[in-house]
Amino acid sequence: MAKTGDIFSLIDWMRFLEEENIVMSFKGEFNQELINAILLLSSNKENLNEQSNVIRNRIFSIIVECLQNICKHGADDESRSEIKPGIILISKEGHTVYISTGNLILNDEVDLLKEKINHLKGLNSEEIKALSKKTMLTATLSAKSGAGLGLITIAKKSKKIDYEIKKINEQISFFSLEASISTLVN
Amino acid sequence: METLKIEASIDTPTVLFDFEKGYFELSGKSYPEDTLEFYAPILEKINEYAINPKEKSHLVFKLIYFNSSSYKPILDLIRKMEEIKNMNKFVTIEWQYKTGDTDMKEVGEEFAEVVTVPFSYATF
Repeated sequence: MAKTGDIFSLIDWMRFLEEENIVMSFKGEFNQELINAILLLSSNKENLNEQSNVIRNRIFSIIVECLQNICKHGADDESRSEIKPGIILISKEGHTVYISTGNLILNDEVDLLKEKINHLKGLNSEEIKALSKKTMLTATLSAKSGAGLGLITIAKKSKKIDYEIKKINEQISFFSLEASISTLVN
Repeated sequence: METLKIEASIDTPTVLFDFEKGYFELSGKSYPEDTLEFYAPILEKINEYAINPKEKSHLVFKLIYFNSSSYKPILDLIRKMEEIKNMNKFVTIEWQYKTGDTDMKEVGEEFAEVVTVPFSYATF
């Protein structure tokens, strides 16, 4: 970000957000209160306020699953527990809404996560529905449910998911997940 | 048993369990921070009711949204109704969803496949 003189040049930042069609962005430490605030903000956004209940619910659902995943499974750079650093960015281009989230994960968890997402990426929508149903029926009620169900739900509600994992150091990596949703009812 | 009434919060649903009438309703949104903490006491109550249930039980879902970890306790409620039905009681489940929310209707149909309790559908 360009700094001119002593103050932060926000006009460049504004232009960037506009050029990239970014509707909302937030970087910080996530907890349930913040998730609720983000959900409230996003549902009040004119360009996200879809007329169709099913599309509105899909957007809501993906935001919840992504952010609760960060709260439940995200790592932190030190050893604080309750709050997890992360980022969310929502953009809209034509009839597609993109929800991107990023957070830290432990390097030990990278392989399993990759395996889970690659598997989901290889399934068509009917196969995802079947997997979702099967997983849900065998799920157990626990305080910290597996991220599997959350990821499956994200895949089920979106048109496409993609991800990137970048190693930061010997302990942690940065995990980015992008889910796109078509605003055209199918 | 005394009626169980829990007011909705931003991320938890309204719960109305009228044990005397055999009427159970869950409405609103469900994505609690701690699913177990919210649902365990509710499931405990329904388990207690199921020991000596009324002749007729009616379970109504009027959910706008629920997250993936709320699926399990909802399924538990439905399975408990199946258990009551198997005690030769009359049990019905009503699945209400927002007009146009075909995803929500579909989940209801998925639940319906798991049990023999008849489901009826309505929009709100």
